[in-house]
Amino acid sequence: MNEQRSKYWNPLLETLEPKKRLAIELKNFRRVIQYAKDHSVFYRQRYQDIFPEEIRSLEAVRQLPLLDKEDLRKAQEGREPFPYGEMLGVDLTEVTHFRQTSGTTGRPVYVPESYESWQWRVEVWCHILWMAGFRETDRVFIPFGYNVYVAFWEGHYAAEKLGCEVVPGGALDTRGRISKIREVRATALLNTPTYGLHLAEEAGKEGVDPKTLGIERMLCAGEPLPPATRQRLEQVWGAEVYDHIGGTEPCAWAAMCGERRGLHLMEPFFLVEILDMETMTREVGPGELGVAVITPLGRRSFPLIRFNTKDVVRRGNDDCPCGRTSRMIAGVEGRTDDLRKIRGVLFTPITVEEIVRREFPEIVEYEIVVERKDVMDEITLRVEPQEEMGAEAFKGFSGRLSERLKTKTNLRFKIEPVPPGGLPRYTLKSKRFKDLREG
Amino acid sequence: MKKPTDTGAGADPAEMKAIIDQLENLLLDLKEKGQGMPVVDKNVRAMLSFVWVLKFGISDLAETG
Repeated sequence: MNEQRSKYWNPLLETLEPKKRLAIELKNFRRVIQYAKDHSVFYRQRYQDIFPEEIRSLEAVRQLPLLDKEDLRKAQEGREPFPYGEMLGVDLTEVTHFRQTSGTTGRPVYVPESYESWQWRVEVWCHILWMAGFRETDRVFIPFGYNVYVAFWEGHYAAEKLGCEVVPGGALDTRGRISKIREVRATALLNTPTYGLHLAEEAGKEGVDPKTLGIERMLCAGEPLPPATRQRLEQVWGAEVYDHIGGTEPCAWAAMCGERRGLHLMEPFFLVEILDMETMTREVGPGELGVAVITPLGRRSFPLIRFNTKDVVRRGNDDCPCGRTSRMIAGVEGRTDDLRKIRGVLFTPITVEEIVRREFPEIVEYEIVVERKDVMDEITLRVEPQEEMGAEAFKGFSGRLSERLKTKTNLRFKIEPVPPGGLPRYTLKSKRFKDLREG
Repeated sequence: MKKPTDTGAGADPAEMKAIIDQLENLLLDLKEKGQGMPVVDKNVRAMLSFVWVLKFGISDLAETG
């Protein structure tokens, strides 16, 4: 087989009949539970009355308790062996990769990978990169100092395994990275959506049209990628832009194929449940929103069973023309942590990202601030336009923006101008949402 | 040698599983024969990690028919 022409990394797995795939998932789920009970102090206690051989259906799976980040933190803090605590599933001497979460929602969680577990994670990413069209002929530039954050390490190792040429772009500033992309004639990028836009903005300031840099494909990581943002990136870079979803704890569990019409769940590497937000007991149907609960099925160093990612996703239709039989989601709509009640209305910041990127190209950066003024909540959108606007122009622009936000969110925003360059630029994940009502 | 198909449709997971199992046994044998030499231990560990990956992608298919 000319593997360069092969559409699928693993044609047998990716076109597997759903019933057979579920059988594999349940078999491996039972194996993970038994392994976790045998090797992890945390699970030995948690599952002492659970018998893996009895778990023969998704209904039985749903009887098991959910796991969340706070459980992981408690199992680690002050517990041996340092620093992984009671979650560790292998001997400490087998841990070869130290990773940690970004700490956005609290104290970081430390995630150990053994050599085996790491290769399993990398294999999942091989699928993801292959689906996004990465091939041996690609020269992949990764514009980050990877540090302890996992996504770019996974991408690097997987690109290498695919046979791509990998150019790490740490220890350079943004201008240096733009030069490097041009110098080495990179064909592909791995970056956060925020940084993809920032790179393009900085290139523009140097008189470089990003489309002339020769990037053919971009895989985004690290934060949600609403359709409008993806389209903006495709437009400014002249490249195909792909999304995937993952995390340090659960690994990368969904990704886009060449059709770019939603994301495929990375089954059967994971048992993925998309559950209703109210009760977390019912698998949602196509078009419905649900919370992703993930069990990685091949990672023994850090067993994670029914991990509540708090990612809110919309279940898609499973009819992708690519021929893959895995279930699909339309995309991530936010996180349950990001959902806020503002004046009694449920709000998620990703809605603003979608409006800004789709309809207001004059906005370079923005920030959402929620404050309590007397007894009322006030929500402000601070906007940095590409160029200074006069008072009249800003009035018209902010009127349009305010109306669109009201239509989409049911909230009346105050719009506040910020001079060009006045808002922070993010090189990793953006922190555009500030709820000042808390603490 | 049979010419492979473009989509892998003709590949037999059971045949491949048998080879994967042999690989694993050979590697475990090698580890034993190596008597703790790091050159053997560490490289066998690396190769066993890839066997683990192949079990996921290929052997599982054979086991569930």
